[in-house]
Amino acid sequence: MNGEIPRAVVTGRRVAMTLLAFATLITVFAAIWLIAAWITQPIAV
Amino acid sequence: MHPIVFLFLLALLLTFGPYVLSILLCVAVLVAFVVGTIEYATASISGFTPLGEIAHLHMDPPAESAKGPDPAYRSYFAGPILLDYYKVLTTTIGQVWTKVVMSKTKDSGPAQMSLVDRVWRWMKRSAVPRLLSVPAAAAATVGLLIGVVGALGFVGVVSMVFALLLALFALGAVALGAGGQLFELGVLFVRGITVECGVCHTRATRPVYQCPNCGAAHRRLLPGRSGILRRTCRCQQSLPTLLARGKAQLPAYCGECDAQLPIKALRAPTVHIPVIAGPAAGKSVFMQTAVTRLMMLDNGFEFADQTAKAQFEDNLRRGVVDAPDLMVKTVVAPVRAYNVFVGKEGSRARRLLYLYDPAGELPENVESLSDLHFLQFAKGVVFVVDPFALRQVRSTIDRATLGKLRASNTPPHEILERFVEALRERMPSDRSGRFDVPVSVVLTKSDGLLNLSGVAHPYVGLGPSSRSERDLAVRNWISTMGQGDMVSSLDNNFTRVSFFAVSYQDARDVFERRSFDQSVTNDDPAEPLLWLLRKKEQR
Repeated sequence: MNGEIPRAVVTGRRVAMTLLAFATLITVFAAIWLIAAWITQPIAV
Repeated sequence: MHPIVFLFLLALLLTFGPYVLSILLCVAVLVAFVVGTIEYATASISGFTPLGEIAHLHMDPPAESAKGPDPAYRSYFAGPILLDYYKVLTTTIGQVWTKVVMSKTKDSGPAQMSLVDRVWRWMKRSAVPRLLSVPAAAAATVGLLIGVVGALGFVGVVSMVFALLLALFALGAVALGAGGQLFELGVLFVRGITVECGVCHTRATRPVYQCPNCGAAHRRLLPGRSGILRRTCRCQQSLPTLLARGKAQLPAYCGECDAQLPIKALRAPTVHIPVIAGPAAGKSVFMQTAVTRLMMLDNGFEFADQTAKAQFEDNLRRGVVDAPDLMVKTVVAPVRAYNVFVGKEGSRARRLLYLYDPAGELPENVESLSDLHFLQFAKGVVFVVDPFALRQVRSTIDRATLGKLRASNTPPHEILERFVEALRERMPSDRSGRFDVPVSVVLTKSDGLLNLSGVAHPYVGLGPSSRSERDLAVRNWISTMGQGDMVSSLDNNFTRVSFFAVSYQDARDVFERRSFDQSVTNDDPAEPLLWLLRKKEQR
């Protein structure tokens, strides 16, 4: 190996970072949605 | 402490304590959670830095070997991405633990104090009575621990979603690669596209591709662990894995004998055409003339093999087009295909021609012919007939003229008989015993017949005529010259036969020639090859 970073790794890491950001967004929105659903659920009388 | 003060503090703790401690706990939870998420974000950005360290990915390409894996980097998505993410997680957990829960100590003393330790140090050094400071420190510690657990839980959920997205991405990529490969194989199958080695004459089902940058051999340049659409060679050169992405442009070699395969192979159907003739029948001159004409017809022509191009240019330099006697005699050696593309690039009519020019001596004996493995792939045959090898023609010409014309001494019907015999060993025939292969019978050296008393050119008096009229004229001429049996043999052994009369003089353009007082126009030297490619016309 000549020590250079293969272009495929550079691209792969960019894609991975994008996927991770997307996963974080999904998790945050899912958490907000769950909390909101829990807060606004009708109280059983 | 005075009992009254103690009682006052106790009352204070019992009255406001739950509220204050709850707020303290919530603040601690929030602080720990924020610290945790910030550490996760920092570790992620650092871990997935495009130009970051790759030593921990263990993705160095293996050394080049004859049977081992190809010298290519493992695809980032086939493992290394998980190692990168593992590093992100371990860094996150380590940092959160150090910053929130337990200080990192060095031999020389504490290097970084955790929040929990800071809380308890405050408790120890604070002037606030223990009765108040201890519950406050305990509440903050519990809050920090809950915050850490929450942050790590968040990281865990994000990791699961990330893993899911990654799996979907990988599945999509694998489906794309597999689909692309299947589509490619389907197109090759439907269009009947194959590639054969022009040296060892075997079908190259798995060509070995060479990296154009470092020359490394890639024996399995297909979508796989090294990449779906592209792979990275050990020299960092990106190589396409599918023909549609440019794989056909790479230099390819036969997996059996390491001979170079035609350039841009697998882009057009192959047509193997052996050119059969006896020694000195004008076979090599015909091939040179035919290829020159194919080139000049402006119908899409390209050399698919550097050796063929070099040979052609060498013949041009030596002036073979104008003086065929300058052509070097074909040596008796293992036959190598002469590869050219005919037809415009990208058109469905484009074909990769494998022209075989075996030395005239080879068809003279059956044993040699049976070694000609390429016959199994033959989709057309050019059978060259030297008119001056026919006894009836020879009888009308003096020996000096025959020598000047470099006449062949081998009767063509003998060559045909041996060739048919050899073909029977290699190729199946239909119920009537005929081979389903078109044959162009080429009467060469037609220029020699223009001014010959006693023997007329086959096209004398024919005028503008169709292919069938010309075919009939040459057939009749050959029959008249005592070779009726040979013509019958051709018709009996092959399903489609057409006859042509050509001359080296028509290499640049096909002119009308004079034969005594009559005009004669030979066939275009490229026509016998083009006729073999035009299946519709043969019916």
